[in-house]
Amino acid sequence: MNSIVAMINKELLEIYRGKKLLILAILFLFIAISSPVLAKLLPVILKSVPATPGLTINIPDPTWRDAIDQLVKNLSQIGMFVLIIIFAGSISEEKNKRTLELVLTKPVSRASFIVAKFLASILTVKLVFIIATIVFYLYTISILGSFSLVNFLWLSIFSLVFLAFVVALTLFFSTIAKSQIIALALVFFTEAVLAILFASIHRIDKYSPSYVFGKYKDLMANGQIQDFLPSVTVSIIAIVGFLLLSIYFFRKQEIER
Amino acid sequence: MAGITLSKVNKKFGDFTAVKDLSLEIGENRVVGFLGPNGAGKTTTIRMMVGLSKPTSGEITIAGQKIVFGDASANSLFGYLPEQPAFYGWMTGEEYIDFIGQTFGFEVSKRKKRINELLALTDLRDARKKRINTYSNGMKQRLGIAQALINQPKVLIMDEPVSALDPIGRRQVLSVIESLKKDMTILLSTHILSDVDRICDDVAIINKGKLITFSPLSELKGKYSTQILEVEFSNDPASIIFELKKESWAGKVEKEGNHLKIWLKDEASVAQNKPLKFFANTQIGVLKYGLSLPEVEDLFIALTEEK
Repeated sequence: MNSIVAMINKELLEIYRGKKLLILAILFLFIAISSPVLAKLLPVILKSVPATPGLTINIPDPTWRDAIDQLVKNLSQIGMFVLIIIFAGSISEEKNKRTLELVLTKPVSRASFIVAKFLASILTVKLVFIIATIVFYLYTISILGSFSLVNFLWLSIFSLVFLAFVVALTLFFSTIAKSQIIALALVFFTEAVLAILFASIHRIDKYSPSYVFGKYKDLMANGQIQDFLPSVTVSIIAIVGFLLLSIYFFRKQEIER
Repeated sequence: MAGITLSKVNKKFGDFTAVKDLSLEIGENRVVGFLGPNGAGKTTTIRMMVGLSKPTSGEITIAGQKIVFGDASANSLFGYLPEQPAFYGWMTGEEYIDFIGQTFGFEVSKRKKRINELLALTDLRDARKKRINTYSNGMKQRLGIAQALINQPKVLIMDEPVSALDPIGRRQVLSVIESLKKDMTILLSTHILSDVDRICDDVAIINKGKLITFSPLSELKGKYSTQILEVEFSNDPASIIFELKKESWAGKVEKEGNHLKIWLKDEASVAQNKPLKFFANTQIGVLKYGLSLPEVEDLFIALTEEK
């Protein structure tokens, strides 16, 4: 128990000093601010294009829905991408730099090593994400009009569960891969396989961890959160599963020189 | 109770056997030099002792507790310093020791006390607030000793603690180790033999994964105390070695430049001037002629070649 607290403290300090916190904060705040701004400005930009004779484009006035569209798109693409890059090295790099030799010869169990990495990463993502969503909400209602806070809260929570799933998946591959690059490749490959799988078999779509990014419009419109329970349940089981698998493989690994 | 025991420890990497049937019993508060040429299996053995590597078979205990691979529960009993230890360079020396103290669950006051003691012992007080990535190799090695001692272990295991250091760094680290001798079992691997002469009580020598000998250093020196005749010539003595080896008093001969070391089979021959007469009959001038007792290095060569 002591060792896991020590490890979490160390991880948080590393995330802070290694500029990972800074990178994540800039990224998520950029997403939070640029999404409503882009939604607001897009019609203006389109209008500035010289008119083609005989073609009239009707551009509806932007609403908060456009801002949410942008937000979800950015989170599910750049947001996820950067998270994976930032956390792909967290275990493989300790092996390559051999910094884990001294730690694992202390009363630090292999399980607490992995769990501390996960908790510290999630804590950081959560902190940055919560600030970013507050900024997004306040900024969007001020320039594009008000919308349901409760539904938006659910959207944020489900998105966060998905990001936690991505972090757990990334840590798993960082545990079994020999290098950060291989871990990265494995995560992207797995993400691609999952995306294709869930897209091609329509019946299982609602179990996809990223289901919220496909159905967020319904969620914002009617707040039917029970539709998302299968996806969230699968995500949480997968998070626990990936952590257990990481611990299982890590326990068997000999630390090579 | 023994400090460290190994019984029939084997380690295989595929077809290659790195450590073979290694058994050792190191008594409490002994300082043991663990010697062997490069690739002998020293590091592999040490990594099994501290739970970083899994023995293919056999059993290891430290301070009476069995080492189980993948289980950290015995880790509070020993301190470990790997060869060229890797730290979190973004931490300061003080922060690192504090972090290690936290892993043992020490209270803030105890950690503070230990940090001060250890930084004083390892002469790192001036660098305590500096990031570790600005430390020299010698400072890192001393920080490595500090982190290994935070829990006041009964057993201290060090892999080549001085081999990467310059002479000044070596002297500093060795004097730290010397100051620890009284109250813990220390195992240190090295290929620098003069270090063993300076600080060790016992010597364990392995070669090709097998234990060649394990005995008190003094006993070993007594057993292999054959006198060595050292002769320095004006020219290269290569041409006389063949004839020299035929002499009844000459054993093993080792040549280094214009210098020969001859292990004497018959020590009385020196009193009878037999070697001197032999050299007088050659066409090479003798510059120096004298007897010496074997150093650890000579023992090491004699032992590894013998087996």
